[in-house]
Amino acid sequence: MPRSGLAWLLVGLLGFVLGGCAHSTLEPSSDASLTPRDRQLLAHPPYARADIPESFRRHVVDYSRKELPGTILVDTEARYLYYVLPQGKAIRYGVAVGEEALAFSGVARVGRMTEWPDWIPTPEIQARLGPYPARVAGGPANPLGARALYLFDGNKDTLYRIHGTNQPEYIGQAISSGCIRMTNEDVIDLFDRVKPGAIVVVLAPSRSAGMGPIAGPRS
Amino acid sequence: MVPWKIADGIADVRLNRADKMNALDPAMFRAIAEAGARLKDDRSLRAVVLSGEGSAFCAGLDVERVAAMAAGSSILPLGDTGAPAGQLPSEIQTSSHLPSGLDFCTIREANGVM
Repeated sequence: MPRSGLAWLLVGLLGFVLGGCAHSTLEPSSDASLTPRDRQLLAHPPYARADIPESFRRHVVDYSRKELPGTILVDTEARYLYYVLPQGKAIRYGVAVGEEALAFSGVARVGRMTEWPDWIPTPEIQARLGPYPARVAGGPANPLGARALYLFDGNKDTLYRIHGTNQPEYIGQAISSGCIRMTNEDVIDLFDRVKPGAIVVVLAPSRSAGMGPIAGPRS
Repeated sequence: MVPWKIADGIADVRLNRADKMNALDPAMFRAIAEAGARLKDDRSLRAVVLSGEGSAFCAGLDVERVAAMAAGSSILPLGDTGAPAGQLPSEIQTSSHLPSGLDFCTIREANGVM
């Protein structure tokens, strides 16, 4: 075998070995964490059930970064949100990224967490996409969906939110408005895990964590 | 500094300055007062549970403020909070009397040093 051929064979073998080290397991959010109110509001949602690509559905994955368990990492560019678990694992959720999400990167804390939040459209949203009522009550038609996590820098609201959606078909995409949108089932699962005050790391759009789906789902 | 989570009608409110044993400085007073002002109007709440992150519930007034006073400055300078002049004392009062100003059950989940 020519030397260059041998080199390529070694590179291929190395890639196979490394690729085999990274695992992701498809584990859709369980409906066991839904409250009676969730079940009632989600029984007949005013949106069509979306066929979300498998890579953007909830997975348990290997996690190689240094954030501590309980931390949230948002990889805006890859359209993933990670909830860090112990022992080098994380839960990876697919998200939709709106324009408001691009205005913030860095480290913040979860300052407030609410169920079925009301939505108060900003003047900018009213001008661009309105008119909306001054306050939209929480519910399945509300664009914030089933849960909202509001990020703060000290006592200052960053205006960055992680929330549910009434448009699940956009998961995995960049869209014109909103912050980080998750399916209502996924944001309920995340909400139940996160403590108030949890650290959130938001990567700048140009700094993807590079932890996308490497290996396929395992049974 | 005082984050909270509302689930099933219960607000889980945390003093979150663990590196200072949740000691009270002007910003903490303000954050507690803001939390109370927000939560008291939430008609969906049945209870508020107040706890402290880390090894202590709350170490009381931040000793750095006492040291600052000894060095000649105000014990709680208004400028630190961004609050209008004259507002801070009422915020301290609001913080101190927070549980009695609410219409629902309040529980202090105290741990460690108080």
